[in-house]
Amino acid sequence: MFGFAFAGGVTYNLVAMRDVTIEELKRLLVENCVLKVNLDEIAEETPLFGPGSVGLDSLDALQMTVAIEQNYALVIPDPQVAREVLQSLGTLRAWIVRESAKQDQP
Amino acid sequence: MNGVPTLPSAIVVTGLGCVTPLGPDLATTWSRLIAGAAAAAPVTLFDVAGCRCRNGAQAVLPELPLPAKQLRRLTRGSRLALPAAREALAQAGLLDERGRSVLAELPVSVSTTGGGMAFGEQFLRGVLAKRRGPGQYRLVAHYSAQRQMLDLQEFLGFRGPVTIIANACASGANAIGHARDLIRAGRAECVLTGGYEALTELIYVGFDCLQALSTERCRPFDRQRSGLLLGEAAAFLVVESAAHAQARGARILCELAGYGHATDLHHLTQPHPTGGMLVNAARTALQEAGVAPGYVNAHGTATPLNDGSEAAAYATIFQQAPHPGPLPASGARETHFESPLPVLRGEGQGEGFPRISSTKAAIGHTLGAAGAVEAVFAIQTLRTGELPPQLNLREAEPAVAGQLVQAGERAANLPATMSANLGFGGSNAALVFARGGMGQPVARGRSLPALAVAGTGQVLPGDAEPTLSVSGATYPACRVDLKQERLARWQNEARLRRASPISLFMVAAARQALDAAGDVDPARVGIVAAYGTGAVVLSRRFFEGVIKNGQRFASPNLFPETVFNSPTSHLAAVLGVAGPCYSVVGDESAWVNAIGVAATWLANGTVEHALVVGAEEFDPIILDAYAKVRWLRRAGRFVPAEGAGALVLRRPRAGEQAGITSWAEGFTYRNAREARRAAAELVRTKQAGAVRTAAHNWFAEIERELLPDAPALPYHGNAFTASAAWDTVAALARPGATWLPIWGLNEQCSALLLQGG
Repeated sequence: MFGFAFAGGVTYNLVAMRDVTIEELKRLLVENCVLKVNLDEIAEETPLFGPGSVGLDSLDALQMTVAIEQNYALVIPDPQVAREVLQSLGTLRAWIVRESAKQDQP
Repeated sequence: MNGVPTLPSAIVVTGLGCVTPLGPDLATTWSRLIAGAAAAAPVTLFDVAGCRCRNGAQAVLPELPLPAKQLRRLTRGSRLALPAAREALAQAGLLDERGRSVLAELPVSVSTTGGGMAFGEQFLRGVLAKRRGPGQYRLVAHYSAQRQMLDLQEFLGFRGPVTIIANACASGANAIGHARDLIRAGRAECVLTGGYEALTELIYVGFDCLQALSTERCRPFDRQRSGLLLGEAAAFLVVESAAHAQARGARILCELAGYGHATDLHHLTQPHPTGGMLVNAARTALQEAGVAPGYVNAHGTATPLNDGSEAAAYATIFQQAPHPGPLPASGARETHFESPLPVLRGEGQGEGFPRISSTKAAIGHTLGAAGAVEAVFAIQTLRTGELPPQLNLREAEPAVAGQLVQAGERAANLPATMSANLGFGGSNAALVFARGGMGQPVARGRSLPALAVAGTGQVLPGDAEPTLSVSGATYPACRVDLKQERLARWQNEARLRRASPISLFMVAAARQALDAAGDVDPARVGIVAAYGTGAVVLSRRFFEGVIKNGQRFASPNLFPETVFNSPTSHLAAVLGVAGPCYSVVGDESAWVNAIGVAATWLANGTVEHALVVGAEEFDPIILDAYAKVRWLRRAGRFVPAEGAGALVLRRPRAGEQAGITSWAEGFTYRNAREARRAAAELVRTKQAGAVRTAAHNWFAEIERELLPDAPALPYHGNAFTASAAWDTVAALARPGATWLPIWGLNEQCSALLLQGG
């Protein structure tokens, strides 16, 4: 399941794409964003930012960008894209699946 | 200068010096700056291969007349600071023919954010690589900021108290403002002040991971600005009372006519979009000065958020209709943070909106040095009439469009200039410099018989327990139980979500002290926090992550928490304090420096209450560091600890005697022999009621010898500023007078004279 990819001197912890689950994205979120919420309280469609959300801010968005690159070798190019990708764990999973499918194409 | 005599009550500048990426001294830097030179180039000081950005503004280190062996132990920060300070003292006429200070004692008020950070980085790499040897000892011994100031004192031949302010990117302005406050309060006549910052990997990678660095050009106040350029520099000023300068026949360069500081509670790293706290800081400074600036050296980092907020602030400050009321009589003047802008002399002579530029496009953002370098530039503009152009501008931010300085602009006979700075943690500061005779009379502080203690609070650690170091050795350490209710209740506070444990200790101790004090108006409170090692848990975790995972995966969530000022800013946000907030760093004696800052605020009427907090947190790397400098050699002799202590100070009421009566500071030392001498000198200030602090280090022996009959205070382990705070609280609980020695483990001994209630 785990492998390493080398690109431009950077080492990624690469996870095979078919295994991307909401559970693992939840763990990624909680480990990276120092959240004090219960994992069970976060659903696939729970908003990550704004009112009634998990309560992330702009620093968390940067942190998630780094974590996603480190674990999935996918670069979120700018804050605009980050805002769209990081609406919820569902939108994040959809983006990871879509982007890695693009990369797999010859 | 313009025929108007400088009032003896004025506070003036008599010396300037700097080392910047544009040159080794002020004359070279200035001519290149005015010519439009910029110093951006690929960083070569350390590897940046894993970063998004590659550019920085590096300085060429000036030659120093020192033996190679001595040069090797100087950090890069010292290599920048020493020549800049020497230039300032020389211009002020304070150096003899051998290049030594003619004043044997000269207080220093200085700022930095990184100190000797590169040595700390090397040390951590060494520990992780299980490296041994004398090199590691040198790194620990010379890493902290106070060592660089000892280098400076030794090089220039003077002694005296050193206050190191680490308020992130605004702290250069705060250090100069504190020099002014010291003179206003009658605590000094002449102060060497400034700031220094060396580029280091930890800070560079930190800003890179926040995506705050521009990958193209640094474009302050441009609508398409994309981020900042990091730089390094040092700048120093000699600031003195006009009476002192006139008495020694010194040439007065300008008046330091006004200073304001306010804290923005909006977010740890983002300013409020309206720039409201910069407005408050600038208004306080302008009201003190009573004269309108013709030029503002802006903070202008070229990050999207900073420049937008700052431009909005200038539009508010300078376009608002002048306040119709008369200025309050000087002397009775109090500083209020919501004060309206007074009618300023100099307005109407030209346009009300000053010319503006950010010199960060040329020399980069020099962090702890920025406020000092830019103050020097603002003074040089006042003196020469040459305005530093706004480089790299294509389409200006609308709120300041038309005000940004173009190449070749001159403005003769400016009455005043201003320098403004903002920093992480919401620190906002402004300084106003006026031509001689243009500033209004300076309101002197009231001399206070004592600082009354309205409340005290403590977070104490538990008993010593065996604890693992990073390299795997076991030593005893005294830890705080984070699960206890009075700490745990703050853990769900949104602002403290990412914070290091030190913030929890500070909030709990401060809350206890404020509750004991009773009726305290948060709008009229200032905070001074003293740190030895600060947020060391997250600093170590951040840089260890960089070493293990690579620069590319540095943690944006951790980096802002590594800044000295962050816990202070969290404390202000949780308590709702928007007045001045300073972070003071050093060893145990930083606690006394912090009390000194609070005393100037109370004497000058800046605040009604000053909350002074000493706090430290434990991290396993501390054991490795202390083991390396041989403090842990004998088991049980020295036990690292963590926690916090807090005092709420206010002016005494009529007839009230209890509190902090006086203090002695500036007994600096660099080695064991000098430590013995400093201790003996300190003990000469001893009065009745001396106690021992059972410091459990090499001072324990000296203390027993010098104070054989003194009773010992309880020992909770060694936690730098927190230990000093605990000892102060214990001494205040004793009846009558207590003389409390504070044995700084790194560089300085000091003492407090306390009167129990």
